[in-house]
Amino acid sequence: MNSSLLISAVLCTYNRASLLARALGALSAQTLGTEQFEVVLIDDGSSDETAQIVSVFASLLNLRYVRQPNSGLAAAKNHGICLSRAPIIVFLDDDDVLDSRALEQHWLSHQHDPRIETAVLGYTGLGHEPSRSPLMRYVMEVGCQLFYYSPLKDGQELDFTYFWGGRSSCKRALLLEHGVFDPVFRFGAEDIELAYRLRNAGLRVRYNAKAISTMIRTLSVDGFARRCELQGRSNWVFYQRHPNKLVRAWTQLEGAESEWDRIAAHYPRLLRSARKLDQLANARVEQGLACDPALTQLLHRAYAALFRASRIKGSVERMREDKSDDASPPGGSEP
Amino acid sequence: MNVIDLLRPIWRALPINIYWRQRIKHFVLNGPFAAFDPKQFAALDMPAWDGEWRVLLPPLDEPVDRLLVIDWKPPTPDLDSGSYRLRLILDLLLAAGHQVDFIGDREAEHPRYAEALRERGIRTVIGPSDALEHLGTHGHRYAQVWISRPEVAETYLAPVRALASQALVIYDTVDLHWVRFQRGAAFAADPTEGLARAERYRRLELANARAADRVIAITEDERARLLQEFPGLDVRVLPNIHAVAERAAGPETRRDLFFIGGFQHQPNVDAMQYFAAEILPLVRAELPDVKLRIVGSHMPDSVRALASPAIEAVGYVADVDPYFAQARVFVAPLRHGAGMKGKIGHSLSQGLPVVTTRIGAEGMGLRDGIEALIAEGPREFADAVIRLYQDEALWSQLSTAGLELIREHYSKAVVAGHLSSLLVPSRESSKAVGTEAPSFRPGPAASAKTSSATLPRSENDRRVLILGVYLPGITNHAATLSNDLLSSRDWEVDLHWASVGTHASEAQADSTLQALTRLHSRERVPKFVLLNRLLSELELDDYRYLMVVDDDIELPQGFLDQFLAIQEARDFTLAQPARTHDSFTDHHFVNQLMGVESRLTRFVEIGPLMSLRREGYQILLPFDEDAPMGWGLDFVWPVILEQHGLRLGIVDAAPIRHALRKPVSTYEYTQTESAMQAFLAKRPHLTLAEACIANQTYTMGGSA
Repeated sequence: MNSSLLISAVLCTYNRASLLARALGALSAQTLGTEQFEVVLIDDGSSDETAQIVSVFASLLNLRYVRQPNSGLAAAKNHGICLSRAPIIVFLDDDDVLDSRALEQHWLSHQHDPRIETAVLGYTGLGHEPSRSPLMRYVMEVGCQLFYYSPLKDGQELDFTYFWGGRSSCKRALLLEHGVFDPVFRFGAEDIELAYRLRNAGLRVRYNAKAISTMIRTLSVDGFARRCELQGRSNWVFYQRHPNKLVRAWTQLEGAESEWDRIAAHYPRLLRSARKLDQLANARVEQGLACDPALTQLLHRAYAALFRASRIKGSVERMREDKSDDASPPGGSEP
Repeated sequence: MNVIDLLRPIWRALPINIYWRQRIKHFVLNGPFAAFDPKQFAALDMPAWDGEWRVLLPPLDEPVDRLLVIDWKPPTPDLDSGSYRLRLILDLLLAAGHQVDFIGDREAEHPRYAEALRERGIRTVIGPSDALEHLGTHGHRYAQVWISRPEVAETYLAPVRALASQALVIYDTVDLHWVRFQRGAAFAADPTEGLARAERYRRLELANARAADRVIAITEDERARLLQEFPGLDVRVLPNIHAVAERAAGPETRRDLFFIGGFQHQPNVDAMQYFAAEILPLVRAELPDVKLRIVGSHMPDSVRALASPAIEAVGYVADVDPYFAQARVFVAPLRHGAGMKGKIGHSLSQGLPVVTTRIGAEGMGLRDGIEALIAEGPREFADAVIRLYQDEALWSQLSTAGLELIREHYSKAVVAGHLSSLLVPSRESSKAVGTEAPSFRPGPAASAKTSSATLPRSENDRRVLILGVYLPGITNHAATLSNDLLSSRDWEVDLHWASVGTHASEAQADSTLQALTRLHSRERVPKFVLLNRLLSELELDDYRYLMVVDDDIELPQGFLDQFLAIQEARDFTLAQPARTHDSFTDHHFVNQLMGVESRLTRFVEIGPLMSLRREGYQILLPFDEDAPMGWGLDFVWPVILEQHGLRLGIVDAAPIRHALRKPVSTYEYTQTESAMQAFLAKRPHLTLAEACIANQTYTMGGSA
């Protein structure tokens, strides 16, 4: 092991070359010296100009770049863990840009609490463009489907449900000794499922509000609805892996099936309503006009209903796939 | 900030887990507080919506077939040309078979206007609160919603989108207000204020246009103007509509000048003041008896004050036809304004020739000297009026051409065609809109499960020795494993088992397995002691590979050929297959990496399956029996192999499943652990953190 390396930044990417350039740019401008950290970049089968972007940064960073056929987020993260050399691993997303002190702050938190089972959660805010988006503001600040920072205090100790992907760090040894990501999760729940297992090793998550990153991507209503659906699918798999009341509560599966039966036929209308209200809100933002409380309330209600419905849709559809496929064991894993 | 807002952060910060959080929330909402307004419980993280679906799930079995029109008030067609137009549109919609409802944001000047709609069979709702209630109960019935004017759209777009989710929303600009205000600013008392207003309206109108599904412009010019801002908009032109007179009386029976216009519309006020002050005196210098008659609703004092022997300021009249029938020339000296001028079309439709400005003529395709006279400036305008007044041949020609123009482009029949082309047809409209699924990025096919690498059969050196230890007394996979391993296509396999504990013949054992069992120990002898015993009886150098297997693993199909082909291709002296993620695991590092074929590592587990190539025999064999159950060898071997410049690695593309028994379930963990530490203390070795690093990964699909 290279003893001068303090931290390995594992960054997984898929077809987001232009955002990746900004993420790598921010990594090139850290207060930690480039000899003090490495970037392990896992390209999960991109077909865009990711490789060209990476070559630009090759001389600016201690960078290990690997391309794998598209295998999903959990698989890519495991690949990154496997290649990492430093005692601390921070997991980053390709649509987040780090503050220049972010890696140093992650490292300081681990210095402060060197216990192997202590992980660190950084703060993520919205970049200029996403902060103008009514949807992004909703999912970050109101509905909190994306993040849930408002109740957190700097330095607070949190439970496993805060080991959020793309903005958390932990000791490499914790993962080597107690578990890595389960590649059955191609998107969603992979982070919390791992954290749930690490709980047995005493995992605690320490919040460091000064380890800042900025989300620079603006999601669309359709994109976020799809994301909720994938999250719902993963939630079902998570619960199948760990069928107990804590996981059932986190995955919000209680009553999901009967709720979906009630709303399934309405789903296209919920989707269209949210899309069109979002289009209206964006059109006003684009013209520098305010969204009045009446519009905001209707918009937020439409978002809330669509995203809840999408999550439930994913869970129930995945559940029914499992039930119609008797041959596959719970969770759908195969040796 | 209310109490609930204060409670929210406290609730969120409570140090309780998600299970109890949900229990408490459920209790609060369904228990003693169920009677309270659920909105009050936004503190429990349910902003804007209480999670109650009832309000969001309208009946699905009712047809989606109605059309809703929303304007600022019920149309008052005798008061303003915008209302006149909307009234004709409503008539056309009814005639086309649409089931029409109407929302007016406020009452018209008189209740009779709403009554007139109801008499036509149009369900009419007045006022914002009734409108919202109506949308709540009937919104799901609308296939299309027509919203007129910027301010009305600003108020109603959101509730329409929320409550009439299926509807195609058509935004009728009526005219582009921002263009009109921009032009008017120059003539206003405070031009800066006028321009600021124009800018406000520009933003509002563009936002409305972007938020609607379809936009109505009143002229081609205004359509082009919108597309210049946003090329992607769906803008259709729907001009003013006019009832065309069959024929008009000739000039000889007519006298005087005429103007009609709604005076809440500022350009009309300006036009009359301008005409009275600067043009009429020039006209009367030539034609001293000619008078101007001014008709129109909401006439302000500033226009009434123009009354004189030369000007008759009439104000509102219910029946305007006689004025058109008796006047000789219609004057429209408009210096600003926008859209299409209803008064000019109206005049042409009655066969009364028009003198106007370029702004007055715009949007209608009027040509100077053909359908109208177009003049700028007081002198030129007055000359045109005088000329038209005196030249009966020119008068008749313009009258006929004007009637023709209106008949061809702005008559009810022609505009009805435009209208029907921009609406959802009334018969098919019950089909739901928006059944699309959310669009998303299609993922490529899932990770390949096997690598295509195989070994050519050309070499002679392709013998493999496989040694295994099994426990006949407990459930094991030894028989299946034997079949799998012996079915290799590429390798000649010699398989030898040793059994421990209960004798194979006493257990219910497979006959093939019994034949392959070369050694039995009733005593629980350590695994590597047994293996060394087996090895001592064999000529090891005949074999290119030595493989050691446990009895509790499951192999993928074609395992041996694929695994060894990769070990060979990657030049690993020592290798192991990765473990599937549903395996019991000692070292998470060896869990299968999806999308990866193999990796060059500093760690290969001693069991449950490892493979050693010939160049490693001298260095690593016989097995070091000081290592209890082999434990610790994994941290010593990489040091030795690296000293010899040899490579070791993990093959991910041919993973094994190790799920039959928990590791260490058959022997004492703590004892073995401390014995391992003692073993390691005497030898150069790697720590776990040092060992579990891949120097390189070889991904599926060939990139290295």
